[in-house]
Amino acid sequence: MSEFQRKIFQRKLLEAEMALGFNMNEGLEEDDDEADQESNQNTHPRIKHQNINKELDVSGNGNSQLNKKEGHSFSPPFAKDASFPSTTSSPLIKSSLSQNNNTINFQLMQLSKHKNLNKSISKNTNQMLKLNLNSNFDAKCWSEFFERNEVFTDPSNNNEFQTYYTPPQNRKSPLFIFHHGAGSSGLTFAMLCKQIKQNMIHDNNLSIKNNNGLENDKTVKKDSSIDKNHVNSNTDINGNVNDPVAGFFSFDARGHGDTKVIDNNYSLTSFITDFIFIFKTLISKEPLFKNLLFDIENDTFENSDYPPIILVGHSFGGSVLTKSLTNIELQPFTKNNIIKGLVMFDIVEDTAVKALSGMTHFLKRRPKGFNTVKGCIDWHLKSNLLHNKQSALISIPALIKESLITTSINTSHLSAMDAMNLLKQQSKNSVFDNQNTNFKYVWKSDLLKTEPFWGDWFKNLSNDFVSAPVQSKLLILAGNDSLDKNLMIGQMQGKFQLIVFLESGHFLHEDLPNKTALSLIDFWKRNFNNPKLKIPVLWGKMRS
Amino acid sequence: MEPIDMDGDILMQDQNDQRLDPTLDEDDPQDVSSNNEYSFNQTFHHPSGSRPELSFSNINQLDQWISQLSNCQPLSQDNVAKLCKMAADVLQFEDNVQPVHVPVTICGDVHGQFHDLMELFKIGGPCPDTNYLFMGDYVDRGYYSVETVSFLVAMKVRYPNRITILRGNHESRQITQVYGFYDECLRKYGSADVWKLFTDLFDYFPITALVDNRIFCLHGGLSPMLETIDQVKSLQRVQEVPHEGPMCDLLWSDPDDRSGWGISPRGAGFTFGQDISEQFNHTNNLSLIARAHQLVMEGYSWSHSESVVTIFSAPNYCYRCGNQAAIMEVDEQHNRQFLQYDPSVRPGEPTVTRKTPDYFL
Repeated sequence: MSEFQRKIFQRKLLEAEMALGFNMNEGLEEDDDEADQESNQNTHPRIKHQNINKELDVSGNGNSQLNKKEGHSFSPPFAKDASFPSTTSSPLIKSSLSQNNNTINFQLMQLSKHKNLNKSISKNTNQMLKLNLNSNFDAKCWSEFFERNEVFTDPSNNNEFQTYYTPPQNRKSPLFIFHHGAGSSGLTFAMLCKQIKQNMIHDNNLSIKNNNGLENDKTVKKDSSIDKNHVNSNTDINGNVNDPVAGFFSFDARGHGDTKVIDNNYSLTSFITDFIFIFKTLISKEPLFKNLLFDIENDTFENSDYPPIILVGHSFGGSVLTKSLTNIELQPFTKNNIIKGLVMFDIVEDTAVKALSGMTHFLKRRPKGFNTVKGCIDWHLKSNLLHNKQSALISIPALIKESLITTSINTSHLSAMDAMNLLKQQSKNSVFDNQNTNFKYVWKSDLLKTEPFWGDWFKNLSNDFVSAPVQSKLLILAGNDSLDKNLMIGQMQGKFQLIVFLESGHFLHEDLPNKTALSLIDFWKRNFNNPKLKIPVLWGKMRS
Repeated sequence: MEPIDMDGDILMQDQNDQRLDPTLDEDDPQDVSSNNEYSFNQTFHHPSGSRPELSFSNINQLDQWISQLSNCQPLSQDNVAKLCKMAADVLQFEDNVQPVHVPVTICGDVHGQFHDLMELFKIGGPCPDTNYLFMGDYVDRGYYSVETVSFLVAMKVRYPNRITILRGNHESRQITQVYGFYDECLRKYGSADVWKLFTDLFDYFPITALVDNRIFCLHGGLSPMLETIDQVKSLQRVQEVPHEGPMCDLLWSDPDDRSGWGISPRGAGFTFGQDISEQFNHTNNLSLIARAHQLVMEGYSWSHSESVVTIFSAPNYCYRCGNQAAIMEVDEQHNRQFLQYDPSVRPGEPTVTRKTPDYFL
C-alpha cells in the first residue's frame, strides 16, 4: 500500500469512527499533535504544571475561592488548570497586563452594582485586584487574543453580555463580528482572530518589502529601517498605522459563558434582539464609527468612510446573524452598505434540523462534569468535537465552571451572582444538580433548557442566507458539501461563495484557524478592498 | 507529467501552502505583482501533425466500451488508461476555440447524472446521427461521474467530428477533490489512479467552441482580459484550471443584470453586464454567446436581450433541486430550438445517506 493509500484509509477510518461514535484511534491523534506543533512548546508545560497549580490554589485557601468567584462572575475560569503559571509568564504578558487596567476597572464597576446584595464584595474586590496583578491568570487568557473585555449591559432588561474586542486599525481595516454556536462561547474564535491578525500583519510587511524594491536609493535607506523593524518584531501588533489590520468582536450569547441573562428564553428572537443591542452598542462605542448612527438617523452618508463590517457566525450563530439581517433594525446598516459581508461556518438548514433529533440524546449522554479542566479538554479532543489542542486550551475552559455544591454551600462566602445562581439551580434542577456533586467542574450552559426552542432556530435559514441583503456571502463547510436544496440552487446560480474544508470537524475555525483566517482575509480582499482596482480590464488596450 | 502531491489534503493540518479551493488563492502576492504572466503566448502552436486515424481494432474496442458504458457499467482501470491515452491524442490537436458546424445540439452541465445523459440522447437523437457540443461539467455531485465522463470521452474518440467536449470548471483536480469525483473514483476503483488519469486528460480539453463563426460556446463567460476570440486562441490552455486570469474567467464567469464588470460572488471569475456582452458580440461578429455553469430552473434562460443564453442539462440537479433540463438545437439555417426534459425514470438512485453529525448546535 502506498503512503497515499494509507492516508486515504486513515481518513476513511476516521470518518467511519466519527459516524459510529467517539472512539478514536490513538495513533491518529498523533496527526493532531502535528497540526499544532507550534503550540506544543507552550501547551505541554502548561499541562505539566497543572497539578502544581492546583496544589498552589488549594493551599492558598482564600485565593482559591476568590479565583473561583472571579472565574464565575467575570471571565472564563482559566485561573487554574489550563492557565499559565505565573512563573512562565513572559515580559509580553506583563506589558499586556498594564493595558488591562480598564478591564479590571470595568469589573469593579460591575461588582459595585451588586453591593446591596452582598456586603463582603467591597473587601473581596481589593483582594481580587491584587490577585489579578500577582498571578496574571485572568489577564493572560483572553488578552492574548483581544484587547478589551467589557460587559455590555442592556438597560431595558439588565442583561449583561461578556464581550471581547480588538478595534480595527483604521478605516481601511475590516471589522469581523462573530457569533458563536449553541454550547460554545465567545472565545471559540480566539485562535482565528489571532491568525487573521498575524496573516494581515505578515501581508503588510510583505508589501512594505515589495515597495522597497521599487523605491530609489534615497528612500530605500529610510524604508529599509522601517522594514527591519516590522520584520523583526512580529510582536509589534500595531504595525504601520496606515496598514489594514482587522478588528474583531466576539461575545458570549445568552445562556453561555459569562453572559448573565435573567430569563430562560432561548428563542431565536431573543438571540436576535440581543445581537442587535450588542451590535448597536459596539457601533456607538467605537470611535471609527463616530457619526454612523447620526448618518443613519438623518440619512447623510456623504462621508461614509467606515470600516467594512463582516458578520461571521458559527453553526447556530450563523443562523442568528442571517436572521438578524432580515430584522428591520439592521436594515439601515445593510442598505447603506455598512454591513458588507455575511459568513457562516458549517451550518446547513437541512442537516441541522436532521441532527437536532439526535441532540437530546447526545446532551444526555455527554459527561455531566469533569474533575479537572484538562479532563474536559481531553474529552473534547478524544470525542472528535475538536481537533486542535492549542485552540481547545483557550475555548474549552470557558465552557465550564466550578461546581458550587461540591466546594461550599455556605452562601456567605459566595459572590452575589453565584449565590443567586445556586439558589436558582437548587430550586429548579435538584435532580440535575445531584448528579453533579461528584464533579469539580460542570457545564456553564444547560443546553437541554434550550431544547423547546430548537424548532425555530434554523427555519428557512438556507433561503434567508441566499437572499440576505449584503454585498457578499461566504459559506464554509466542514467534511463534505452537504448543501440542501435552497443552498444548492443558490450556489449553482453563483449567489454565494462556498468553501469546503474536507479535513475539518464542526468547529472548523478551531480545527483549522489558519486556513479559516486565510479564507476570511481573501473574502475581504476580494470583495471589499477596493474591488474596482482588482478587475484587470484590458479591453481596448490589447487591440493592436 | 509530474505526479501530483495530494497528501496534504488528507492529513489534519493547518497549513498555508495546501489550498484546495482555487477561490482561496486570489491574492497570492506573486500573482498580483504584474499581469505579465497572462501575456498571451503568441508562439503557441498545436503539435505538428494531426490526430492518428483509428484502426479497425481500435474501433471495435471503442464500440465494445461504449456498449458497456451505455449500461452504466464502468470500464476497468486498464481500459480507462487506454481510453485516456487515445483521447489525449485526439484532444491535443483541437483548438482553444474549436470550430464546429451546424447542425449541432448544444448541451450544458451533466454532473454525473448518467441516466439523465441517456435521456438527453433520447430527446436530442442518438450520436453520431446528431452532432453534439457539450459545454463542460461532466463530473461531480451526481453518483455516476465515472460512467458519464468515460462515456463522453469514448464517444469523442470514436466520433471525433461528431461530438465536441469542452472543459468546465469542475474538470479540475482541485474542484473534483471536494465535490465528489475523487471520492467516486476511490470508491469504484479502490485507488485514485483513475481520477488521476481523467484529471490529467482534462488539461487537453478545448475551452471554447465557435459554431460557424456565429455562436461562441464556453462553460462560464467572458473575461475582462479577453476582448477578441483571437486572444482566446493564443492562450496556453494545457494546464490545471488556474485560480485567476483569462482561462479561469472563461470557466467561471457569469452574466449579470448590472452593466460593466463586477466581482463574482462565487469567489472566482467575474460578472459581466449586457453592455459587455453586446460589445463582445459586435467586436467578434457573433450572434450569440452560449454558456452553461448556472442552474436555471427551466433548463435554459436568455439574458442580455438574447445576446447570451444559459443552458443547463442536469434535470433535478443533484437529485434535489427540482429543475428542468434543456438542450439547444441549431439547424442548418441557424434556427434555434430548445428541448426541455425532466429526470429520467430509473431503477432508483443508490441510497447515499448523508451522514448527520453527532453534534450540531
